[in-house]
Amino acid sequence: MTWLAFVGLGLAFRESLTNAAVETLRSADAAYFEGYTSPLLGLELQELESLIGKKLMVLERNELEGKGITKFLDSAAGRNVALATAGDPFIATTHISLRNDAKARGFDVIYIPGVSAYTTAFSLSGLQIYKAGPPATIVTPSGLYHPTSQFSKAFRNLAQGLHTLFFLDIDLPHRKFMTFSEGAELFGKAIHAKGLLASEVLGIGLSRLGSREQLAVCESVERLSDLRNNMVPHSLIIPGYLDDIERRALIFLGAEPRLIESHEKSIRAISSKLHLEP
Amino acid sequence: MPKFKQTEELLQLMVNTANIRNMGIIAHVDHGKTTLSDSLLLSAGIISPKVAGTALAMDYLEIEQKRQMTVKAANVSLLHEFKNQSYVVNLIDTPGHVDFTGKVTRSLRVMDGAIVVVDSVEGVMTQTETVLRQALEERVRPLLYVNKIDRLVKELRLSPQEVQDRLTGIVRDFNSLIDSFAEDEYKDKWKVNMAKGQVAFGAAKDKWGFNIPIAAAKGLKFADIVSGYTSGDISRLVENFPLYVTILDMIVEHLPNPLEAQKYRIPRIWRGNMESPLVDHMLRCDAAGPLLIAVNNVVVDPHAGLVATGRVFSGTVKSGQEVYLASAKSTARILQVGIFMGQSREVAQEIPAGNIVALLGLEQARAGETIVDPAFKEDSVAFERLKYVSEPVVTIAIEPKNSRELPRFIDALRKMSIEDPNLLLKISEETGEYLISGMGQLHLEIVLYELQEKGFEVVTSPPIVVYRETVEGKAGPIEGKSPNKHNRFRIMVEPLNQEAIALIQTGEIYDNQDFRERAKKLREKAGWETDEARSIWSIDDRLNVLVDGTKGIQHLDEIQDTIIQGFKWATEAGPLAQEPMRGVKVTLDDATIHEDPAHRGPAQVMPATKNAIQAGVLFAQPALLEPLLKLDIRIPPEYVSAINRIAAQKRGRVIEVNQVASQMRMLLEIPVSETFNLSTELRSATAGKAFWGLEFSRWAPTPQSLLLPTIQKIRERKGLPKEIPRPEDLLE
Repeated sequence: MTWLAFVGLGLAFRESLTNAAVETLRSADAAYFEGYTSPLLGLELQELESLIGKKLMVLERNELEGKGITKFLDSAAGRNVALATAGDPFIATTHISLRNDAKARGFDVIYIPGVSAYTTAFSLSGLQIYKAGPPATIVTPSGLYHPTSQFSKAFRNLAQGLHTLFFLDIDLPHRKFMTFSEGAELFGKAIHAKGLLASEVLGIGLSRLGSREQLAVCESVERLSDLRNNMVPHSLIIPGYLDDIERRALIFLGAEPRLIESHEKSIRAISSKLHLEP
Repeated sequence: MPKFKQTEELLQLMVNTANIRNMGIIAHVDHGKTTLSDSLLLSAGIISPKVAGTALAMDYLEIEQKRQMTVKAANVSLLHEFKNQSYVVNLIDTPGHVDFTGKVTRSLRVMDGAIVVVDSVEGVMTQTETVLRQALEERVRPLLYVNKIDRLVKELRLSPQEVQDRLTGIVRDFNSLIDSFAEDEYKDKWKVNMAKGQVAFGAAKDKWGFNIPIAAAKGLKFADIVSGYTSGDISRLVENFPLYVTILDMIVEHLPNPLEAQKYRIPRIWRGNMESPLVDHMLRCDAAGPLLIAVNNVVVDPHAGLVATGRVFSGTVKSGQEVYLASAKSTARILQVGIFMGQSREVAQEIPAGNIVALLGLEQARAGETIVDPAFKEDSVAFERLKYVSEPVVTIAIEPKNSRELPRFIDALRKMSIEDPNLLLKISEETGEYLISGMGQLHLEIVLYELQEKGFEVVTSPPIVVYRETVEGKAGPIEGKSPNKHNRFRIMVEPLNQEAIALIQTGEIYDNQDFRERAKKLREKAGWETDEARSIWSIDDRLNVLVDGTKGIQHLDEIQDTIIQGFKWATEAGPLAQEPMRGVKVTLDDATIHEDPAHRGPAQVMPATKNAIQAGVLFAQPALLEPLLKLDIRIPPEYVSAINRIAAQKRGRVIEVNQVASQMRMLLEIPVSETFNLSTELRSATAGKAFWGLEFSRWAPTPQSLLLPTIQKIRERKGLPKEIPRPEDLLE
C-alpha cells in the first residue's frame, strides 16, 4: 500500500528541519510544499531539493482546497507522496480535513511533526503552557470582514487569568505580514473599548520564532504598538496572571515590575466586568 | 418679451414660499411635452421664439438630444407675473421617453404639480395612464393640457361641434383615470374642471393655447379655431392666446405652493419614521429648520464637475455648508449653491425650503440621494427608497472605433451613467467588453447618439436581451462547504412570494429598514411568519431576499456581511446562464463555523454560500425569465389583421382591442427579443398610419421549447462551458 506523508518542516530551514522530515521527503515518489499559509524562514529551495534528491513542487491554495482536494488525492493515489508544510501540518495550519479525506480513501497516512510557533512562542517568552487559554488569530480588518471575537476570546482568557497567544494575519501571496505593533494597536482599541488602558496591559511581541534571530519583548500593549520591527513574521502574547517564575522571565524580556502590577489590576477589572472569577 | 433682470428678482422671490410653484410636464411619448416645455422656456427668454415650435420638424432622437442641451440642465426656474404678483415657477425636467420611467418617479418626488399633455387625436394612451398613476402615487396634483388641436381640423376635418365633443371626451377620459388611480381623498378634489380653467387646449407648435375662462373673456369660439386652421391664418390665435401665459396662469392659480403641498405630500413620500423631528419641519416647509434635500438629478458639467439638483424640503441651503449624504453614507461640503436659468447656472448665497437648487461639490451624490443636516443623519434614510417600475432589459457591447480614444470614451460613458441611473455600465469579466444596459432599445440609441455628438465613432454589438433566472420550486437544505472544508452552510431556496415581491417593488419594504417595521408589513401583507419576517439579512435590487433561519450560532454575526456578499455574488449571475437572479428567497438554515477568524474569512465563506445557493437554484426547478414589452398602438381598423399577424410572428399576444373614435387601439405584449425591427415592420404593415408606444411590461418564463436554445446561446456568447453546471460540481 502506498502512503501519504504530512511533513512538518518547522519554522526555520536551517534551525528546525528534522532528519525525519528530510528522510520522508527523500523516500517519497513525489514531494509537495504547501506554500500559502506560512513561510519557512531562510528556505533555500534548491538546497532542500538537493537534500531530498528531487524536485519540491510548490502548491497554491486552490490546489489543496475545494476541488483541489480531490485532484490532489487522485494524483497521489498509487504513489508515495509527501506534503510538506512550514511549522506543524496540524497545528493552526489545519490540514486535518485533508488527512480525513485521505484516510477515507484508504491512504496510509504518515505524520512527521514539525516545530510549531504555538509551542515556541511560550518557550521563548517563559510562560507556562499549563496556563494558556485557547489561541486566536488577529485578522487584518476590512470593510467586509472585521472580526472581533479573537479579542473577546482574549478577554475571556484574561478574566480567568489565562495567557492568550495571538497568531497574526499572514497574506503570503501578497507578502503581507501583520506586525505585533499592528496587532497590539488593534487589541489596544479593544482594551479601551472595555474602559481599560492599553498602557496598563502587558503584551509580549515575538518575531521570527524558531530562527536564530528570534526575539521576544515584553512591554505595555501601548508601547508595543509603537515599536518598529520589520523582522516578520510576528506573534503576540497577552499574558494572564503570572507566577513568580513567569514574572522573572518577563522582567528579563523588559517588563517593568510596576507594569506587571498594573497588568494584574487590569485583569481583575476585566474579571469583574465579565463576572468571571480568575 | 424676455426679461433679462430675472435672475436677481428670482433669488429675491425665492424666500416668498407662497409664490413658488414646483411643477413638471409629463406625457405619453410624442404628445408634445417637448414643444410645451419650449414654449415655457420661451417666456423666460431662454430660447429664441424661432426655435420654440419648430422642434417637432426634427427626428425624435434629435429632439430629445436638443432637449437635453437645454433641459438636461434640469429644473429651470421661470418668473411669471399673475394678477400683479410675481411668482417663481420651477419647471422640473422629466425624461421624454417612457424608457426612462425610473427617472420620472424621481422627478415627481420633487414637484407638487404636473401638466399632463395629451394629443387631441390620439387621446389618453398607456403612458398617459402610467405617468398619471405615478404622479398620483406621489401626491402630485395633475392638470391637463390637450395639445395639437390643429390636427383635429387639419387631419380629421372635424366640425366645431365635433372638436368640442372630442375635447370634452378627452377630459372625461382623463378624469376617469383620476377616479381609478387617485386615493379616495383626492378622487374628487383633483378631477380637472374645464369651467374653472384647470384644462388648457392649444397647439404648442404654433405657440398658442387657451382655457375656457380665457376663451369666454376674450370671446373665442371653437368655430374660430376651425376657420383659422381651415384658412391657414392663425395669427389672431397666436397673438391673443400666447400658450405660455395660459399655462403659467393655470399653474399659478391651480397648483399648490410648497407650504400647502408639503403638508399632505410629506406623509405620503417620506418613508421614514413619522416621529422624527425632521418631519414637523418638512410639513411646515420650514426655512429655519434642519436641512433636508431630495436629489432628483445629477449631471456632470465639464467645468464645474458634478452638479446635483434637488428640492429643499426643510431648512435653508448655503454654500460652504457641511451636509450628510444618506445613501453614500458620507459627509461633504457644498461648494456652491445656485439655480438654473436654462443652460446657465446662477450662483446664490442661500436658497430656502420649498425651492429647487443646484449644488456643487457633492461628488458622491447620485439621483435619489437624500442630503441632510449631519445632526440628523440617523433619521435621513427615508427618501432613499424610490419605487421603481422598470428594469434594464437590453444590453449592447460598445467600443470606440479608434482604440486610442478608449480612456476618453470610458470617461464619457461613466459620466453618462452617473447622470442616468438607469444606464448601467459594466465590464464583462469573461470577454473584457464594455457593456451598457438600458431600459429599451430606444434608450440605448439615445446613448449612442449622444456619444456620436461628442465626436466618437462607435462600434456596437447587436442588442442583447437581458434575462433573469429564477426558481419555480423549493430545494434544500443543501450543504455548501468552504474550500478549506472547515465551514459549512445549509441553504434553502424557493420562490419569493408575489406579495413580498410587490412590497419590495412599491418600496414598502427595503434593505436596511427597521426590522420591526418590515416584519410587520411582511406579516400583515405577505403572510410571513413573525420569526422569518424579522430575520431578513438582505434584499437586493432584483427582488432576491436572504433570510437568516439559524438559531444561536456563535460567531455568525461576525461573518454575516461575508455571507450577504456571497448571496449577492450568487444572485448577480445565476447558474443557468449567469444572468441575474430575480425573485428568489434564500434561507440560511444552519451553519458550522471554524473556531478561529483566520479560517472563516471571505475567501472561505463567500464561495461556500454562493455555491450552495446556486446548487439550490439548480435543484429548485430553475427557470429563465424573458422581458416582455407592452405595445400600445392606434391604427385605422383595416390594419388590425396586419398587427395580429405581426404579433403572431413575434410570439406576441393581443391583450386588448378597442375602438376609439375612428381608430382601433390595440394593446399587445411582445417579448423584447422579438422587437428589434418592430418599428420598421409596424410602419410598413400600416403604410405609416400607426401611432404607438412601447414600455416594459413584465418578466415571463421563456417558453419550454426555447429554454435550452436560449440558455445555450447566452452561454456561448459569454464564453461559458456549453454544459449547465450540475449541482454536484458546485458542491464538491
